[in-house]
Amino acid sequence: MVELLNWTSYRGRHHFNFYSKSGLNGYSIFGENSRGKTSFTDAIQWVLYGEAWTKAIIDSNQTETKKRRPIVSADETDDPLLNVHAYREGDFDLMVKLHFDHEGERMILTRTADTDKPRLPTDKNITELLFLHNKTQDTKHQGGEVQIFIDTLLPKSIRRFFFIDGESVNEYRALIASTEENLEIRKNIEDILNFPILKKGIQDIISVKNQYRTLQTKLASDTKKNRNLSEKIKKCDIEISNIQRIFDRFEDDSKIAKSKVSKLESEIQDHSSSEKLMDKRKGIVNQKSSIKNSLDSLYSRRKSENKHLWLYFLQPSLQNKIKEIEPKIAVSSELNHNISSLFNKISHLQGVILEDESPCSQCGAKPHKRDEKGKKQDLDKIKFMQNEMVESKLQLDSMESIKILFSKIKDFKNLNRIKEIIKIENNIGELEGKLIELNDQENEVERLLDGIDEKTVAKLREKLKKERVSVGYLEGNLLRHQKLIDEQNVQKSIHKRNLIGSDGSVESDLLLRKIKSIEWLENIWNNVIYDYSDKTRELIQSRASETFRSLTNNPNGYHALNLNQGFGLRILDSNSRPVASPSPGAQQVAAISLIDALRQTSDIEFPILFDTPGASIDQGHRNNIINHFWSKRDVQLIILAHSGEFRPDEVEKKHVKLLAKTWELKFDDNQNTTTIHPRVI
Amino acid sequence: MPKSHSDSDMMRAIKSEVEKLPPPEFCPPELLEEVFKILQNHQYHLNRDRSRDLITRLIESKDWG
Repeated sequence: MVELLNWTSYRGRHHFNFYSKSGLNGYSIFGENSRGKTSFTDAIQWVLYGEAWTKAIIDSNQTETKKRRPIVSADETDDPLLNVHAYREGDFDLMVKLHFDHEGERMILTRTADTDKPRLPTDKNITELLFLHNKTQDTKHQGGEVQIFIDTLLPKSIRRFFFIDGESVNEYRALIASTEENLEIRKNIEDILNFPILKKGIQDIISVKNQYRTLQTKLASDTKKNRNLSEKIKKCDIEISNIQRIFDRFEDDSKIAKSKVSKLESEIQDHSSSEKLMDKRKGIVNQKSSIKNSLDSLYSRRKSENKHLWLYFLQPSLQNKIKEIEPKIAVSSELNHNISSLFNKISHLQGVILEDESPCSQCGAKPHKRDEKGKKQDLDKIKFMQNEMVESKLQLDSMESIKILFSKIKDFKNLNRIKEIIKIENNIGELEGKLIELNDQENEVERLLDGIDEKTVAKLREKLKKERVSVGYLEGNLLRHQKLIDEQNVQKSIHKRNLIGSDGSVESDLLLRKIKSIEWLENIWNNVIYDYSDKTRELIQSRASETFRSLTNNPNGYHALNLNQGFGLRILDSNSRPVASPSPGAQQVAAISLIDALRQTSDIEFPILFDTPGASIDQGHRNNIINHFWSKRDVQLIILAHSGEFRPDEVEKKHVKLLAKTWELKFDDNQNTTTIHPRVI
Repeated sequence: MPKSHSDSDMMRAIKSEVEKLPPPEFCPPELLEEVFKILQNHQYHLNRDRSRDLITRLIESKDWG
């Protein structure tokens, strides 16, 4: 079903319901010119592709021009899509809705023009909206994904083979052989024949193959890396195994040594009391030795102290002598002081006399300048002081022996060693007491040890010591080797972590299988591309020739249609020679035959909308065309015809067994709209 | 709307070629038809990323062991 709202000449809502229980595929929409036949096919193209074009105009140079129809315009000559009367009256709703079945599911495709209603819209402020409602699954889609879906229904590039316009034969002229190949139409033909499956497909397959090749190269590099890592892991394993062997040997030796130690310890346990006594004796001997050393030192000190012991007895007389000498020593000291003072004074006066202006060393005053009298007085003073100094010196010299005696006696004054000697004596006594005690203890131990084989015990102890050393050595080695094993295991785990997947061989095999399979696909595609084009061309040529012979009024006058490599078409006469100037009718029939052959060969199934199929051909050809297409049961064929080419009554009567439905389009001048009148339902 | 691919002349031509050049023994038998279907669905698409991606995914979904 096709629903229209304000679509071109269709003011308001209208619909064509193509559903028929008859199982027939023949449909016809009759109508005079400008009643909306072409608008109907335009509606379907617009809902699919969002565009509609005016009919082609051929200028004097035989150049075709056609323009895209605007969505809105107040000017009818612009061929806008929105009904002009609706637009003028402010009704800007535009919609085309297509109801169809696809792969067993009911679909509704809708395209609308969304307008800013308060303002008079232009194409610039109109947004087209596209929706798809899958009624079977009740899913809704819109926009780009719907357009992609439409491309799988009927790709835009091949629509010209399904929307056929008999009035625009020129569009198909390129199908008729010419010296120049029409590249666009050739591409369209390749598209409808699904050549992209091969041509684009081979590029896709090669691209995928290259992706896998890249992976293969990477995997090969990874495999090399993995191989190196595997080698390293193997080396680690060998190293671990070697170290483990040594470790095991040490472990065995260690067990033996430990067992020996355990045995010796058990044996020694039996001699533990003797050992304790022996240890005690050892301790006593050590203590005795230490005490003897201390005593030796004390004896030596006591001997030294005893040498000065006589001083103790001289102390009282020394004290008396010191008391006696001390006043003399005081006098001696005073004399020394006087002599020093006199010397300074004499020096000063001698300087003054020599007019030395240096200040006095005693009082710091600067000397007065002396006259002769003063100098004489000073000289007298000097003489007097010199005499005084000589006397003092003589007196001092006489006291020299007393000073020496005093200094010697003073040394002995503090030598009171008696306390020290007593202390030493006490220490000696104490230590000697301890020594006696230790001797007693030693004798007791010796008595207890009497009869015990100390050598055996000592030997056992020695043996145990050795074995313990051995165990220590073995344990150390075990630890060291365990550490080496751990280090190798760490290295091994690092290498293992760096491995990509396994060693790469499995991945490599799988990858190779994939690549070989893709290469096989590539070969198949290449081989098919090579000869499919020729075979297809021959097939289309055969199908088109067959159709052409069934459509032409003069089947005996033509032998066949011939297709060249570029799908250029030639009509061959009964002698298999190309017809030099085929009539427009023959050209149109040939073009229609080719289009039909292409459509048959294509894997696209879509209704054919044949607008004015009778243009350029006579009544006989028209009947043949209708008979040919409507007889086909595999596809809906909608013929849009005007009364100049087909009279509805005659067509319906003649082809009643082929027709599913027919309509007639009229124009209601009061309502300014096309009206749809069902005829055969 | 595309017809079922098994009906198409092209598929027949491909199958005829497969008779001459059989697939490697490890190639999943359905691979060719499934690749064909992807290429058929995307034959009119200018951007080939999607079809290539789908082929890669298809290959990865198969058992190659």
